[in-house]
Order: sequence, then C-alpha cells, then structure tokens
Amino acid sequence: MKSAALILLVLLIASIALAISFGATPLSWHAILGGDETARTILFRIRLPRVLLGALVGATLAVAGVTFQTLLRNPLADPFILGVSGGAAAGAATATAFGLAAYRGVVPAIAFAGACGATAAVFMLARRRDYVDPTRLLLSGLVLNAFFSAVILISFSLSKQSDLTAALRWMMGTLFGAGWSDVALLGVLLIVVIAALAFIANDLRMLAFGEDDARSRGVNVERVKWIGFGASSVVTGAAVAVSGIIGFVGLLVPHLIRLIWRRDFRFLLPLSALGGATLVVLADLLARVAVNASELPIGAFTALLGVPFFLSLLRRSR
Amino acid sequence: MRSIQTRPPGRVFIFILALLLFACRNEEPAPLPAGSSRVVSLAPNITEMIYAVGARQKLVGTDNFSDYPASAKSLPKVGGTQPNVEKIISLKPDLVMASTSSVPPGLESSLRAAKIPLVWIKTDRLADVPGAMALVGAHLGVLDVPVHVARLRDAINQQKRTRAHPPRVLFAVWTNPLYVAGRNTFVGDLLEHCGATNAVTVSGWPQYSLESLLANPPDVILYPNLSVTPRAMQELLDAAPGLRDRVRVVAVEENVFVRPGPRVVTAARQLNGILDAGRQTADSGQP
Repeated sequence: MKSAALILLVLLIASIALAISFGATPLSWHAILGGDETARTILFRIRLPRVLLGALVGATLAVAGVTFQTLLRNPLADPFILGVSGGAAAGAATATAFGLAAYRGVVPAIAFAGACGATAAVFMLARRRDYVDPTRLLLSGLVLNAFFSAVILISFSLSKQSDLTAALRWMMGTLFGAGWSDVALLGVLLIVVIAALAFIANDLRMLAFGEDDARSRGVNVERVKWIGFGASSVVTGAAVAVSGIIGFVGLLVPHLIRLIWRRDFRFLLPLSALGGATLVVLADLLARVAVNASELPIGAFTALLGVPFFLSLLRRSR
Repeated sequence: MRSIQTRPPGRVFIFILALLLFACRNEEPAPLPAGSSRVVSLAPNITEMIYAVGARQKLVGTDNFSDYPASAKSLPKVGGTQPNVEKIISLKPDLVMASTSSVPPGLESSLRAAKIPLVWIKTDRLADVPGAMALVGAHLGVLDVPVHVARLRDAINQQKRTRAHPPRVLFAVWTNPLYVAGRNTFVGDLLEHCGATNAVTVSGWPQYSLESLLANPPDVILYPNLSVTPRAMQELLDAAPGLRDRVRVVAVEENVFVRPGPRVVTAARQLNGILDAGRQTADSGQP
C-alpha cells in the first residue's frame, strides 16, 4: 500500500509538473521570475488552476467509480452508468434550449441539480421497502439514461445552432476557463467526500463479500449505501458541473489499480484518487498541446491513454 | 440544366462560367435556359441571393432560418437543419437549392425519389460568393444575372483595404469554450479583405486556448450579436486577465457576418468602419 501510494503520488506530481510546463504557448522560467506580466498571468491564472481542476475532477470520478463498483458489486458500474452524467447533461441541454446559457452559473447549477436529481430518482426507483437492490439500481440507471438521451435529443432539435455549442460543452467535457473558484469549490467538496468514504471504508470492504455477510458482521448496510451513493453522487455532480462529462476515468482507474495492486476498498479509495487525478491531468495536457493553438476534447484522450494500458494489463493478468 | 443533381457543382459551375464568358463576348446575351419557376431554398444565404437577383417571385418556400429580407419570413417554412421533405414536396417546387455547408442526411435520395432536382451551392469562402450567385441566377433563368454578379463583385472589391498597420482581429464564434474563425474560412477571408490580420493562425473553426489568446492578444475582438451575449463576452474577458485593457470588443450583426450571401458587402463595409474607428483612436492616443 505504502509503496503503491508513493509511486502514484510521484506519478501525479510528475504529471502536474509536466502539465504546468507545457501549453499552447511556451513559457520560460526566466520570463516568469523576471516579472513578465503575460507569462505570469498565463501560468498562475490560466494554466495552474486548469491543471489542478483536472486533478480534482479525475480524483472525483475515480473515487465515485470505485465506490459505485464496490457498493453494487458490479465491475461495470461507474458514476455515468447510474444516470449521474445523463441527468447533468439533460439539465444542461434543457437549460440551454430555454436560453439560460446567457446567465452566468445557471447552466452549471442546473447540471449539478440534474446529476443529484438523477441519483435520487435512481435510488428511489431501486428501493423496495427499506432495501436497495443493486441489480434494480443498475437497471434503473440504464433506463433513466435512455430517458435522459431522449430529453437531450429533443432539446437539441429545439435549440438554435449557437445554443448547441453550449450544450455540447457538457456532452464533450472540457476544462476550458477553469478558475481558482472552481478549484476551491471542488477541492473542499472532494475532501469532505473522501473523509466520509474513509469513514465507511471498512464497512464497504465487508460489503464486497455480500450484504448478508456484512450484515451478520454488524454493518449497517443501508446506511453505508446512503452515505456511499449520496457522497459520490454529489461530488460527481459538482465535477460534471465544472468540467462536463469526461468519460472512462471512473471505470478505468479503479480496475487499473485492482489489476496492479489490491482489491481492498481501503486501499482502492486513495489509490484511485491519485490514479484518476494523474490520468485526467495527462489527458488534458495532450488535449491542450496535441494540435497547435487548438484544443481537442479531453474525453478522447482519457480513453486513448487509459484503454491500451488497461488492455495490456488485462491480457497479462490472464 | 435543371436535371443536374450531382453533389459537386463543379461541372455546372464551369458550364455557367463558359456561358457567362460567351455572353460577355457577344453583343446579344446568350440564350439561357428558361429556368425554374418554383424554387425552395434551404439556406438563408441562398434565399438572400434569390432576392438579390430579383427572382423572389419564384421562391415558394425556405428553411426556418431564412429571415432576410423581411418578406422572406412570411414564406412557407420547410424546417431547420433537417428539412421536412414532405413539406418541400407539398410546395410543388421544380428545383431545390441547398448549401454544401449544411448537408441534411437523406435529402438527396428523397428528393430524387420525388423527381425534384436538387442543386448544391458552395459558399465556403468569400471568393465563392459571386460565382454562387451567378449559379443561383442561372438556375432561375434570370437573364441579367451577369449584371448583378458584376455589381456584387465590384462592390466587394470596393471594400478591399490594405492597411499600413494591419490590426490583429479575432472573431469569437462562441466563448465557453472559445471557438474562433481561423484562416481559410469565410470570416477569415473577410478580415483579410478589409486589411486586418486574423489573430488566429490556424485554419478552420478551432476551439482556441486562453493561453494563445493571452500570448498573442488581438487588437479587436468581434463577436456575433445573436450567439454571444455581452455577458458571455465579459465572462471570457474575466477568464483572460489583463486582456480587457488592451483589446477593443465589438459586437457585429451575426446574420450579416456569417452568411456568405449578397450582404458580404455590408459586412465588409461595417468591418472597415470598425477598423477605421480603431485607427483613429489609436492615432489620437499618440500625441
């Protein structure tokens, strides 16, 4: 655990250093230390908050992913399969179709509300008396996602061409325009959520052996579910509200960690956070520098980087 | 002429050019085909061209976005990015004109099934516009189309400027994320035609980074007044610290600046006005 955490921490710090050093415009340390105003602005007010927000978003998605996978005992679960992203995107698309993109902060707020609302709805749907059925939960998520796709399609058809771009921002995901306020908001929320998950980490670990088993060992299973789902969904909603939908992180990173190290939730939680942060920081670096002066969608690079690595590990583990 | 349905208008175009050259060489205008009498336009810039060549009485329907001249708004509408083919057929057109820049899937095959000829009009660049208008006029059997086209060409040329200190201009299509008009686009052509330098050095319509915006700050940022609100532009300037003090931000009439039609002349005139005003303030700023 310690060596794994150390390796991942070093990787994360190296990626952040790399991401800060490269960008659309070359910055020399000489210019920054020499007080070049433009260079300082680019580094401290554009590049640095963007890199840090990328790390936070990546950590969030991976933490939510590993929590959902553990809770549902389903390796395919990730925040997006449960409708969190669909809810956020449907919220954002509807808001833009009604012309709300013109008002600052309204679309992210509605995206956040959509993500939380979707999780609440999925949870209610999956509930039978006071028991939440993991299979029903997954099914409800899938069905709600289909519903959200319909809402998105209708909103798109009703939108002006220009509004489409605003809605697409959420569908494609981008860290464009990240500011220190986003970093502070998501950072604080993520710390609270990780603390909450660490608090139930041992219970979650026991849940991996089955609910009855966990219950017989004195675990309050329903409370663990509520805390796990609630905390992960709220922080995912916040991440989607600032960055849009960045795919694959929640699914890939926890599995990578499992393939290399261990399956115990207590280890998976911090390691996934570090791994997710590294993946998104590197993907955003590529999205920013791959094509001169243009930016590419970050979700493409999380998949491009993560999938081959994942497949090679999968082959070797057979 | 009317039966030509193939996508690339190249052959038609060459034919029309040959026709025009022939017309220029002779005293009497060459006999043009009678032309269509009922046409549906599927793009606002094509609608404007039809009005400009004086063939509005032949226009029986348009797409939902055609709103200029004002009377075009009252024509039957056949839909937006995905036009309703049944609605088109119900208007009994003998020609449909569509823009190559927005190709609705399935349009070509369904119109072929209905035996309605379809003509594609290409207006990706500023230089395409007069030729496109010649093609539109020829298909509608407008006899004095060379006159209209020559007048348009002259008017465009009259707006051409070379400036001693070309201002660096950035055209922001969208602000979050920032999308801009790059080189080799219609808007990019317009900037260069009016003697400005496009602050964006890449081609096409890229998503542009804030870093590039700050590292190569433009003198002027133009934004389309319908897609981008003043508030959205303020947010962009907030996200790019220090830019506000050195850049002039001007909203431009969106439908004039992004429609490659006869109103390119208006766009160029307005752009020259903006750039001239900038030069005056820059000059007066230096004692």
